[in-house]
Amino acid sequence: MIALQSSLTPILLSILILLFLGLSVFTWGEKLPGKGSWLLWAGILLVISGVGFDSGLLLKEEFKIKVWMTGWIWPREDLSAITVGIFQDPLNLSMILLTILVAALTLMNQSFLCREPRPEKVHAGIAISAAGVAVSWISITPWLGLAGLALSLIGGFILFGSRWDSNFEAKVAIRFIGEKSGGLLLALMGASILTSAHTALIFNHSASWMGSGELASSAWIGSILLVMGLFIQMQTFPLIGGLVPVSELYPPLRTLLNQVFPAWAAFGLLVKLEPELIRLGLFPGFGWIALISTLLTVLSGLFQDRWRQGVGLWLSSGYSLSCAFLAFSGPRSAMSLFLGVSLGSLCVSNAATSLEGGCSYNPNSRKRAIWIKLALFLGTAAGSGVVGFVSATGGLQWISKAMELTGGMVALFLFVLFLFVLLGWKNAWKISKLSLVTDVSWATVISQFACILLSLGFFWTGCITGDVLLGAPDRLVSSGFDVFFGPLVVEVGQSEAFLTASGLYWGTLILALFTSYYLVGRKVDQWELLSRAIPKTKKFLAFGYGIDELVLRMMALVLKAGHKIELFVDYKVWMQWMPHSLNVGIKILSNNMSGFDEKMSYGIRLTLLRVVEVPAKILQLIQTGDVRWYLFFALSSGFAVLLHFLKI
Amino acid sequence: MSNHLISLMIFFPLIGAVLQAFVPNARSRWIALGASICASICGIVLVMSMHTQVADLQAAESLPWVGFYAISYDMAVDGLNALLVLLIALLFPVLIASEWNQKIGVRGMHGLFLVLQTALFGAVCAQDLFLQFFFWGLSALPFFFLVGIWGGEGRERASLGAIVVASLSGALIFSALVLIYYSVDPHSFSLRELSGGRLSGKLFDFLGVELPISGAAFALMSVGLALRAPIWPFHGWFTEIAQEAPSSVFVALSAGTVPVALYILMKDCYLLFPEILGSAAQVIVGAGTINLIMGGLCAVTQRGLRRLLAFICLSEVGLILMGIGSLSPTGAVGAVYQQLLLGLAVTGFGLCSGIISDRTGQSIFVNAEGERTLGGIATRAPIVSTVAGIVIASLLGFPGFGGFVGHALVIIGSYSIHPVTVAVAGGSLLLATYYLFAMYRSVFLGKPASGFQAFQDLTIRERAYLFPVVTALLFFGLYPKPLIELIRPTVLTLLSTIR
Repeated sequence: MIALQSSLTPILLSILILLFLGLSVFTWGEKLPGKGSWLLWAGILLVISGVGFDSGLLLKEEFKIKVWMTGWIWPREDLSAITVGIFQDPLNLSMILLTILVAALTLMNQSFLCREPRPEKVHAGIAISAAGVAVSWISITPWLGLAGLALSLIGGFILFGSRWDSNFEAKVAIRFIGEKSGGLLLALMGASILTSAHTALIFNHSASWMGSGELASSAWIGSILLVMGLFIQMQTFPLIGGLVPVSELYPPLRTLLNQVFPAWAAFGLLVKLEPELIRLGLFPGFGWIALISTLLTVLSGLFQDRWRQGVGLWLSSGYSLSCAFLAFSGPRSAMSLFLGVSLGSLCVSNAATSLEGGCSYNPNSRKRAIWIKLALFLGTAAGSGVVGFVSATGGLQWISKAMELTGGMVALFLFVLFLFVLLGWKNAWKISKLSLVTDVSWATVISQFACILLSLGFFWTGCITGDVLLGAPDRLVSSGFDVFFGPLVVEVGQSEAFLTASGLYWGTLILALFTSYYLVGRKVDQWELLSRAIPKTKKFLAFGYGIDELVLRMMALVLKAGHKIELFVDYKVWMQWMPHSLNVGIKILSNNMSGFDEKMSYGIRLTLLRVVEVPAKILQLIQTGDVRWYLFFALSSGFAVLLHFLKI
Repeated sequence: MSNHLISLMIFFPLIGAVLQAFVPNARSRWIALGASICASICGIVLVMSMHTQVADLQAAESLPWVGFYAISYDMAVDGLNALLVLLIALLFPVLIASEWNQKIGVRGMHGLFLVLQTALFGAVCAQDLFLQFFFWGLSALPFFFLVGIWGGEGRERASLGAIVVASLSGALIFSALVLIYYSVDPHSFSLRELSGGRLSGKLFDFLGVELPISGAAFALMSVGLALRAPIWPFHGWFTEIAQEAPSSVFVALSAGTVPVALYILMKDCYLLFPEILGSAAQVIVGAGTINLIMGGLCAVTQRGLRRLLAFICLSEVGLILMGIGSLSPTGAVGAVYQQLLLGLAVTGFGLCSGIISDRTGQSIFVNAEGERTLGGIATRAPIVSTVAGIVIASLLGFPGFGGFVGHALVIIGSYSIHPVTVAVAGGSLLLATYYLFAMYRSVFLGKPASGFQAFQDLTIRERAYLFPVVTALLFFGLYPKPLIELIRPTVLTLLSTIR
């Protein structure tokens, strides 16, 4: 059921107010009491109220989806229209709520936020980015979705405003915004090309994506660019180089605003695009690319020395794996891993930062450290598909689908999953060794457990195990995923395959857990020893497969080409050759003309002289008496008389 | 609708230029600004009073001027020039305000700006080819003095280059005009009379060879305008001026003259040469593609803000040419819209770079050794950094910022006809992300370079004149509908005659 709205809904208004508050904090935050954090809290509460109000209406009206649309740049009814609008369904509302809750949980870590030189920039970054993610999820067309993505990127860039005066942080900030903007522009170009094929691009409305026969290639190319642009937001291979530099920013903030929120904004669009991508035949090709990207990202992550890069790459690889899930087994499984790895990595990042600080030993700090370590392992479990967490259901469905593929592809799928889980647990073991104590507040500890709570399978699937048992005997309440994506149907014939898949899946997970413990969890870090044995390979993998160097070389070539062109056209042709040749040309022309003029003047003078000279000579002869004037007169008269008579 | 708003808009600045020359400096500034603002108000009221969904010329004013040659003072606005009226209305008060504290010959500078405003308003609204040529030619003259008097060390050379190019351009355009004038019977310069394919099939004898008048006139006119647009490789004088002229003067050139040149090219081609536009469009798109490539490549190598701006302008001109040559409603509307947004973004960029140059005494941000010479402005001057950020987002076409509308429409309109050019445009935009963000990092972020510590944020006056530019960039990005509705009917009508 769809209800067309004639005006903005409360939730959209609340998101716009949050955005406005974020911009206000960015502009005047320094002068505001408490650096504007209260404004941000007000915005968050407003959005939560908006979601609550609209969710209440949604339940009351039996899940009647609200749609509001308008032509943005071109009238909506016309061809090539650029339409914007909102699509309010349970999935979108839930994701907006989750975004706001995660932002609120991050804000709870005031002890960390206050250490930033300019906390108002952090507050503004969180508000703008969260508003961007919300806009992206609620959008009905890619256009507004990409505007939301742009906002989330701007928020991520503003976050660095806290440390813009550091050369290193400036470099990291520019790399972040540069890479992601490149992706955004590709996506925009893709959407434009799709629109050029006369499609209105309305999600959940396949007819609006149809291109006529001869324009099918436009639809295909446009979709590829759009998906490529969105995939870039996951910051996976080949763009992992941006995760390698260690920023001084509070790590959970960087994780949230530079990785999680841009990826959430992009993933929302990918999930909504899924039916069209299937129709256009981009799946499963995109899935294979995502899978290979995951493999390369995980391998790089395994060879990182510091936990920050390790966690960053685990998160990125989790996102690309989610994209692979989307391509092979649909949005339900993709969403489950996506949520699990996002919330899990936020928790891990938070825990690691808490342990990294250290402090003097006292029972209270020891107790908090133990809780944080528990949160650390639970966070890792949440992102690695352990039973009970939301990510479990996705992994299992993915392996089940992989078993339908021929050629033993399931082995490759299991290998990638094994490496991904291994990276997660390796990070966890490594972080757990950081410190025995911590001085963080209980609010920080609670915020980590709140993240874990949000990642529980029960929360999303209604099953204690996270919907990993056949027939869901552990279901306590109805599944949220069923409301989002429709009920999951497992046919009777598939039950055997499901059991095999379960065996393979759980086996892989357990194997990865034990391998990680064996390599990193014990006193001697075996992985460290292995890394030292292959220093060159390690460096190559850890620094992103030399992609950065390659890009730098390519840019050097571009620079060289640009420099040569500029040197030739601007400096040589325009500033040297052209003025010189003009000068020389004009001089030569002028000299020739001058010579010609002189000759001509001489000729004219000579002619004139001769013309004047003849009568003058005669007159002179008359005057001197050499010729008698009467004789001259007689001759002339005779000549005149003769002429007169001749005429007659 | 004939309320003489166009004439008021055109002649207010000229009257102001004369008046301010005879009063002391302190008052002359106010007179200059007042005259410019009055003209701008007329322009804005004119555009706001236009009927949307109407393709015809509006607010027309027509008087015979030189009757013997059928030259008339014929002025009007339509969807094609309305946005340029807005742009010029916004631009010149801002430029006069930006040169408020000019110490050398402030009256002269403001007077020349006012003459330029008159010339550009006239060139945009003229519906008579000779009148258009008259105002277009007039617009070249102020630059000779503005660059020659207030420019940098190489000002004489730059101003001479500019006037030589303008003269050559004028000669070519005038030749085209003469050809067109004598090709119709009765002879006419009126765009209304010459439109609708009246030049089709007409030939003229050149050294014993019969040539089509449309083709020859198009070639002469397009090369003439390409010289001043600027279109690669006719851009050398433009980059030289970028280096030597004061920022406000270069802004007037790149944000005022360049969009007007592109408008004249578009309007005259669409109206006068519909039968050859199919092949002419290929040439226009080809020129656009070259501009995109060369502008992007050369911009990457820049170490100074001024030349960088010149190449950004070059690249954006390529995108507009792409829209003009697409001959699709969406692409053409995008090209018209982008003329306005190019002007606004270039104004914002140019004025910010001017402020930085004034404060620091340099516009080079990376020296020959690759070391940064500026930096750290974002923390000391957040407002100017934010303005620069908004301008960059607009130039890149971030959704919600001005440039997005033009970029999206041009790409949508061009892809099905010129996919390769669209791919080039995509590459150019990706290059732009690289060089614009690299510039932003070098100028605004990081630690300040040694010897460059103090930097004052925008003063009230600077905020006042940058405010309308930034507001327009955001407003026209978020809510383009009213302007698009103005442009669309005219473009659709013009394109229907071409088909």
